[in-house]
Amino acid sequence: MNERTMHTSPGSSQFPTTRWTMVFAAGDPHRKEARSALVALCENYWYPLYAYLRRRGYAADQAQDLTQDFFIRMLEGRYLDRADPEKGRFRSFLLTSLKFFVADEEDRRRAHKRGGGAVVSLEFSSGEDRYQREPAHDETPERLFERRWALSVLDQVVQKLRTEFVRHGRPEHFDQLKVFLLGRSDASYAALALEMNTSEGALKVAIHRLRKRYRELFRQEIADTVADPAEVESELRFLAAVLTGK
Amino acid sequence: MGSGDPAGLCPQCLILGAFDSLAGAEESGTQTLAIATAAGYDDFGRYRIVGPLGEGGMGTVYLAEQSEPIRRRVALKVVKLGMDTAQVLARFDNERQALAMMDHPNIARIFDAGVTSRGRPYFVMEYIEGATITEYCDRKRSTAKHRLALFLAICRAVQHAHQKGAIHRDLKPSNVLVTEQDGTPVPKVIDFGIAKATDKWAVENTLLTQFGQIVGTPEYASPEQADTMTGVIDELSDVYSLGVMLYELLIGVVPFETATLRGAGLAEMLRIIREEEAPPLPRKLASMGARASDIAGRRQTDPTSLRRLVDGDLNAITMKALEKVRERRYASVSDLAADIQRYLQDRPVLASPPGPIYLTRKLLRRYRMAVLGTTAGAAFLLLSGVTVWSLARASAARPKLTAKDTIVLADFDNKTGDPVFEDTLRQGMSVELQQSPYLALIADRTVQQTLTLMGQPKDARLTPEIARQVCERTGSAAVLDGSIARVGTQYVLGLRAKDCNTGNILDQQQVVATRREEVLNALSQMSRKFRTRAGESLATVEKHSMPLSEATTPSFEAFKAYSTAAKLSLSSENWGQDSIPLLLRAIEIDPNFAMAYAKLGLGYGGNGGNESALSAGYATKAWLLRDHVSDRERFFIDFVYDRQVTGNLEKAYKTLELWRQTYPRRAPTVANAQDLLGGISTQGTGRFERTMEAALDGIATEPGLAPPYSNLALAQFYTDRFPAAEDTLQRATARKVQRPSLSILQYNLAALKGDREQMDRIAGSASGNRALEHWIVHAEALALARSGRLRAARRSSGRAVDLALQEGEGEVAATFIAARAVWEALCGNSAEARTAAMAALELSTGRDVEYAAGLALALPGNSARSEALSSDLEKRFPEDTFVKFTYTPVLRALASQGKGKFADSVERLEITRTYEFAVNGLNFLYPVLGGLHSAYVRGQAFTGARRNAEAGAEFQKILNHRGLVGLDPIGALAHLQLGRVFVLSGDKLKAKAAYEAFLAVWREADPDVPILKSAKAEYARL
Repeated sequence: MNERTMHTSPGSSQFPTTRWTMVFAAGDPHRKEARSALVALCENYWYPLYAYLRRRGYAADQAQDLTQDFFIRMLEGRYLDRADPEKGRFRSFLLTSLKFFVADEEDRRRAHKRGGGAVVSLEFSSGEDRYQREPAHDETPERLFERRWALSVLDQVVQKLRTEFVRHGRPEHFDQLKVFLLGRSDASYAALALEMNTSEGALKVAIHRLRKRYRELFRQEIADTVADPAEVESELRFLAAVLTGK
Repeated sequence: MGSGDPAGLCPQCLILGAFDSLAGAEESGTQTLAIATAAGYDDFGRYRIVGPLGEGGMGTVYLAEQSEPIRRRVALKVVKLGMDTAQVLARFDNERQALAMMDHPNIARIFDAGVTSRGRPYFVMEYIEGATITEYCDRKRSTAKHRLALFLAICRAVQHAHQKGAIHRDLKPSNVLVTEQDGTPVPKVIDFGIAKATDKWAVENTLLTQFGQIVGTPEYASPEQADTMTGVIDELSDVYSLGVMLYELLIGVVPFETATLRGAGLAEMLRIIREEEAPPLPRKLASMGARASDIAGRRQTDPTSLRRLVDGDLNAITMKALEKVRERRYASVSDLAADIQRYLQDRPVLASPPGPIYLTRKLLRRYRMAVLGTTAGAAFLLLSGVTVWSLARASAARPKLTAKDTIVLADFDNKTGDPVFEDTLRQGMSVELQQSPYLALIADRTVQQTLTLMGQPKDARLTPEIARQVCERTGSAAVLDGSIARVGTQYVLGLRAKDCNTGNILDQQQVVATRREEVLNALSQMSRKFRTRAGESLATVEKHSMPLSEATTPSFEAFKAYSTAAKLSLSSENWGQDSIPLLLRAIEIDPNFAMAYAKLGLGYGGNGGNESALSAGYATKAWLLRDHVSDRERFFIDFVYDRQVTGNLEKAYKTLELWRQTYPRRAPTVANAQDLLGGISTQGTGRFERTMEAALDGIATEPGLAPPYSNLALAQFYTDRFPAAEDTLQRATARKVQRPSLSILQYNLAALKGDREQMDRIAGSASGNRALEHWIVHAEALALARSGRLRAARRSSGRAVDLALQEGEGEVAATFIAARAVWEALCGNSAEARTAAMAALELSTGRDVEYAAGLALALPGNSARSEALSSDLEKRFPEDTFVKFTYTPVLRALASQGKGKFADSVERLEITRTYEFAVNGLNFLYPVLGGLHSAYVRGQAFTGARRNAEAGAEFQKILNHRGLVGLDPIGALAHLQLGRVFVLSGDKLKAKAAYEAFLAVWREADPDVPILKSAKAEYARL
């Protein structure tokens, strides 16, 4: 293997503005690009909301209906006017709006009547499976939401990183190198270099680049969910705190 | 999307890898290497490094030689780089005395501590040549008895240290070395005092560092060390760690093995340490499979015999040391040692339940003689005044409730004819069940609303049938109903829980109370039993249950008054105040009724701070009685104490968060952590986002309760989200939720928009509303003063004062007068300001009154009097958040300005920045004035110091935060002050615009107001 294939280069998927700001900027969710940005966000981040509702005590089918209806409402442009672009984080916006939605029984009933077809594709069956595996202790719905949110972000980032490797035709390299994302690994460089048929120096460079790319992708993913790029670091710290339980 | 761990990697580690600052593998690898080799080059003073002994989590240990004053070999522990040297040494110094006093043959001495020439802290200890206790025992194939003897010696050593006030905090086999002296093994505990000096978690009570790395050894950590919130590390933590060591000594493994703990992910690992019960010794041994015979072999026995040996007392002792609930653990290391001693002497141990069979077996073994059966069992039942039996068959398939279900409590059927049992039993049951962090009752307010929907009167009696309908409509799971009847001198209480959807009986009980005084106890027993049957774990039932008669009051009459008060405060708009006479009656009957005092504390202080001194008195009394209440009640009392007595809002806020964490489910009472979380302790410390979160949560769960709307709308208002605040108010109206604060806020919003029509409409509807009118009239006065119409403002203010006095609200009236004094002072009428300030002080010396009066006196430069007031505030409220961070600094800064010391004034205001954007006692909920006076005063100070740009920024700040400033006249005057700053900095254009903005707001102002006259003159010169 040569050095070039061991790391990846940034893909072309970078948004000029973040998805969330685009939703704001459009001001109108019916505009095509804003809508697709919103749909993408919803599809990536529906599970935390679902888990929240389940933990709030809704049965699986109720929680599925509520999640679906909620997204329909949102794609219709509801709640967006309530979003505060100054302090907007997609995460808090979603949860706040969901709380309003749940509080508003009227809205719910109307949505039921209309029946609203599926606009966002959400894999509810897998969602319930996952929910059943959530630890059953006394975590509040909010904490569960936050934790699930953080995990969803992680998931997106790792998937994207992996995709970049796949795009370069080297998925196995990702699997070999991924432990180095943890910031600590017992793996011996020499043995791994031998296994990967490269030099130790080249391996170290590859790991360095992998980490760098990982951090970039991480910030990019978070940037998609905040309105102000200056908030990326604080959101990252928040997510870290959520996961490490501090 | 995967199920949990992205790409099979530990999420905690992954996210930490996203930070640049974290060293990667290669960097940290080289760093460890550097430490190891650097020891050779570094200078350790009089110690010469001989060679490395080992490496631990904290650093490397070397064998070293000391040359003076005596020549000896020592162990030298060099602390890892990255720890704060000065802090480590300071903490070590604190510990030094305790360590010096420790002189025990089984504790390794710590001789010294110092810093190397390269700045790394190190400790010098007695050098022990030996193996760790587990290695030693395994190598020697020590029997269990032998191991216990060694363990006892360790216990005594630790006990000795505890007596000297030193806690080890990191007890584990590698910290217990065994040497042989004349062929006898001598265990030595090493590292005493080092954990505390070096580890962050020793101070912060947690196993974690900032980024979630583990310090310490999770296998031996106590539950409290894994508790990031409340963990108290004391002797009991060492008892737990000793328990783990005992476990390992006996059966060769720790309860939670390294692989399980570390493989679980961080949060899960902490949860295991905090919550999971250790598997009993025999079971754990059985799970070891083939390894068991090796383990037994090292104890010179076989697996079956070893299992039999550790089944029984040894298991009970070990489990008691490993209790997750501190209160149930051995109370000290010496208790643990004593039990082991008893075991070794074949005497009954404390750890086992004293059942008759057990006692018999012990006696048999001890005296080797037969003992006949005992009648103790029968006698036991007769002794108790209450007998309980259950009519529900215990079966595995019995339907249980889940933590998501809610319960409706029906009224008790009172067949005794004694009116004291009306309401009391239902309320008592409610208090009982609220102790459960697991069960949730439907709020009484919701019950009332549902009744209305059902076409029933609000206060309709909740018969089992009506309760069932309420249960159905609210989507609850079960109805609880009960009864009481009299049989001779005894009382029979019944309780039944029914699934309201299926009609299945979930639980049914009867209890007999032999005397009237026993009825409350009987109720407690039923409630506890019900809780376990409903699915709550025995551990939480045990932890959170204080019998009603102890927790609340032993007096029925007092409880009756208390519960009627609770009911009344639900239906009254001005919660807290109407229930005061009943609460007073409750404490008259039972002078030790802590909760009644606490509610009085809130009742007198909750709304506009009417009688702050009375409130503080009651809150203090409640606090002094707080040992006699349930957990949930204690949170409430602690909160009320900090809110009303110390004024320490940070503490009050933390209590609420902890309360909510302990009881994540709502209580059906007025005082809820969830509701209080949106209140003054949160907004007074600037946590508006948290407020909104808590309030939304409240609205989502109980959309008919007022406090969440009020808190949400206020937080939105204070953060300048006016349309959102209006939206919230509309939602409240749509739900028919009313509260004076909502109308006041609506008035403020209208006034800021200049919507006269709306203002008049609100004022009109407030007319005659005794809880509201004086506040609206005062707001009117404030709005007039803000536009310079002082004569009209004085008239309105006078009327507001009269109305308040008619309501007997002297302190509120005093704040109104003090507010008038402030605006007079701001407008340059120092004589009027002075008169009003003195009048206010004569009426009340409440905290907010003194501050506002002081402000009015100090603004025109009467610094002597205002300084006396700030000293008084400081003395009376040393911990109070408003006093400490806003009131006194502002008053003192004004005093400095009066003496022309502007730099000093700026300096004194520095501390006010902490909570500058929070609300204070004068503008929260019932605004008397606005906030941001600190910015106004700072702007003046900067102006005086000729720091024009900074002065301008302060006045601009006031103009930018319209919600926080509210209707305070400084909101208009800031334009003028900004204009003056522009004049000073020579920016005529901007100055003109600012003056014009001011004059526009004051276009209808009285022409003779001094500040207007000077403003006009200054403007003319432009």
